[in-house]
Amino acid sequence: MYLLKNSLKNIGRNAGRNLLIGIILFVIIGATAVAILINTATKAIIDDYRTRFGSEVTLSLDYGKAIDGGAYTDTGENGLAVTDITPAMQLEFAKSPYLKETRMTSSTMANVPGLKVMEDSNDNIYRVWLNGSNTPTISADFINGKRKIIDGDIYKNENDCLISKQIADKNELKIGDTLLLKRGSSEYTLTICGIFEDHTMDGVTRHPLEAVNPLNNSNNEILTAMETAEKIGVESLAATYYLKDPSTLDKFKADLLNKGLPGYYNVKTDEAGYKAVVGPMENMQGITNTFMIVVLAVGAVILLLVSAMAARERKYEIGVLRAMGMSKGKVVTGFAVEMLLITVVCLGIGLGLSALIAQPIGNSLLQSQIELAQEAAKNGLVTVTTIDTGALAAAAASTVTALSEIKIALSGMAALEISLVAIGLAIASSLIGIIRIMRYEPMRILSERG
Amino acid sequence: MSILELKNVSYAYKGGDGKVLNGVNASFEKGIMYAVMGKSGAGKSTLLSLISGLDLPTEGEILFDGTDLKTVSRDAYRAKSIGVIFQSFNLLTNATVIDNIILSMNISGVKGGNKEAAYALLEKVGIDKSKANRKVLKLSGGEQQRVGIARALSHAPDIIIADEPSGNLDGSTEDSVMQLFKDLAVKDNKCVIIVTHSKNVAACADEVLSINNGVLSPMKRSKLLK
Ligand SMILES: Nc1ncnc2c1ncn2[C@@H]1O[C@H](COP(=O)(O)OP(=O)(O)O)[C@@H](O)[C@H]1O
Ligand SMILES: [Mg+2]
Repeated sequence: MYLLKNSLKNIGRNAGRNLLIGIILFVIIGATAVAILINTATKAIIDDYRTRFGSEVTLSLDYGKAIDGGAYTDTGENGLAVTDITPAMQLEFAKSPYLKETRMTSSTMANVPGLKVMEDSNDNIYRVWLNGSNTPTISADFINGKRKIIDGDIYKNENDCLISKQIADKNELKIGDTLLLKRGSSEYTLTICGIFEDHTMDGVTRHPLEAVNPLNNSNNEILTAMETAEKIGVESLAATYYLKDPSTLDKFKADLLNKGLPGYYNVKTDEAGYKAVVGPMENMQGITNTFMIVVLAVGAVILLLVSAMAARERKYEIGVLRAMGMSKGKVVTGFAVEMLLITVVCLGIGLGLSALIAQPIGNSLLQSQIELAQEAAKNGLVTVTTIDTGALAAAAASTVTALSEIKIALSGMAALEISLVAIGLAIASSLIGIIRIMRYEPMRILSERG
Repeated sequence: MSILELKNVSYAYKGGDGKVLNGVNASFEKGIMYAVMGKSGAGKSTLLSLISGLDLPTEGEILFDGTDLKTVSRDAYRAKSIGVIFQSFNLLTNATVIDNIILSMNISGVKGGNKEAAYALLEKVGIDKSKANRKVLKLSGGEQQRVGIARALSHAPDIIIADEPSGNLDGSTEDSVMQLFKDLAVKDNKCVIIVTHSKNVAACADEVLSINNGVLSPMKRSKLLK
């Protein structure tokens, strides 16, 4: 008990030196905590991307394999006679048990007799597009604001559809009105559930010699749910497959081959996109790891130097205590307790402060990550799986939705690790010098003074 | 039986040239005040250090109550059985006077080792409360000397040794300090050993020893009168 009291008093007796040791410890603790925080944050981001990019599968034609496989002809398009992936196959692929989800958009030419359309021309049998989508929010036009629902809501029921404001105005249509859609000899009744403002044709100019074709005007698109589109008929389909678990890629590929995918198609996850976003994060992790090691090493060396100097100063004190009959064990314990008290205070301040700055660090990392993701999307690094079955395939929207928030906090484990490292470092450095002195008899310690 | 007995004690410093003590034989009793005299560098402080249990003799043995110090815990011996007033005080200079005394009491495990007892002890050697709360560093040499005496007495040891205590004291304080030592021997039945250059101090002692060529021998009183 008196040892603890004496250690406590000793801290004040040697305030200057202890302040210096405290500051060094604080810097070590703070820097380590921040490095660990950054690593936790970047790890969260990397993990997020790993599952996201790792799970997004691209199907693409491998020309080399196709030629080796004997698909080469003199007559085929590009000299290749390959089996295209049909919408039916894609829909079949989507049933694979390895998939978490499949995002699909389809387009089909159709006609609504009597409907006034934009850029109409009489020689067209089909004057509107029926575009299906199973995940309405993935439509790029709605994400980037070119389209916006201004009346009603997104389709919920079978046969619900959305039309553009241009078409609604031209035909004085409102929510709840129906459209009679014709495709070949079949007829379907669609109910208008929403009207969207459509700026996709803004600024589009036509060459005077270009043939007028309502199918070239996106205002003439009728949007509906994938199920409705499937029932009516799908001419082209873009599908993006998401695996439940990125590691099941090979199994998924085997499943697709089984379902009729020709062997000369690559089934891949998007590595380039993954690297573009994750690369900088991994770099950051590398930097913070190096930073942490350097801080720890430099800190340990400085701490050792300061402690060595302190030990020389404290030699006399040790001699006096030993002469007074204090045992070696108690002297060492007293000094260790003193250092422990200083370290605990530094840990309290250091960890407390890093808890305060944790979230700002996480947020700024997230911000840079969002910018990276947007950059990547702009550069087309993000996979968009479009499979053209002859007709113009509708482009699925690129779907980089960045993590909207990351919760960063020092885990109890990390705090414990930092505490142990700091305490170990502090006590080891302070005791190394002292234990050397402790080997000598008090007579020698006292007589060597000065 | 003697409280303290030195048998053929020799000591050489590591790295020093030769033996400082060379076959010292002596025995010390309770209730007697001894004075040890000798030229500077004769080995008086060395002898006191060995008696204090700060190191073991290179040869020979020191018996406390019949037991060789080699075979006991010298930490406990220093803490409980002996009180030392060092030539250079050896106080914790960064700590306050009162803290020095209380720490000594704590180390020795003195029952009732409290502030009040410490203040009383300091009062006895002429250190008042306001000085007792100062850092040792801020006291004069004579005052530090007296703090050293208070510390040596703080755990009521059987043996009290002082290394040239008069060196830092003025005439009147010297007298009162010597009276204190004398009382410790006579009234409290302690074994008191004082190293001194002063013939006056030696004259107060019951027995006077002199150290010469590494050997301790009794000194005739008549020599003191010269
Ligand atoms: N730490 C030491 N190392 C080597 N020699 C020492 C040491 N301390 C003292 N001596 C030597 O031992 C001798 C006795 O010293 P000391 O006991 O202090 O003498 P005194 O107290 O009688 O003046 C001296 O010659 C001194 O130089
Ligand atoms: Mg001396």
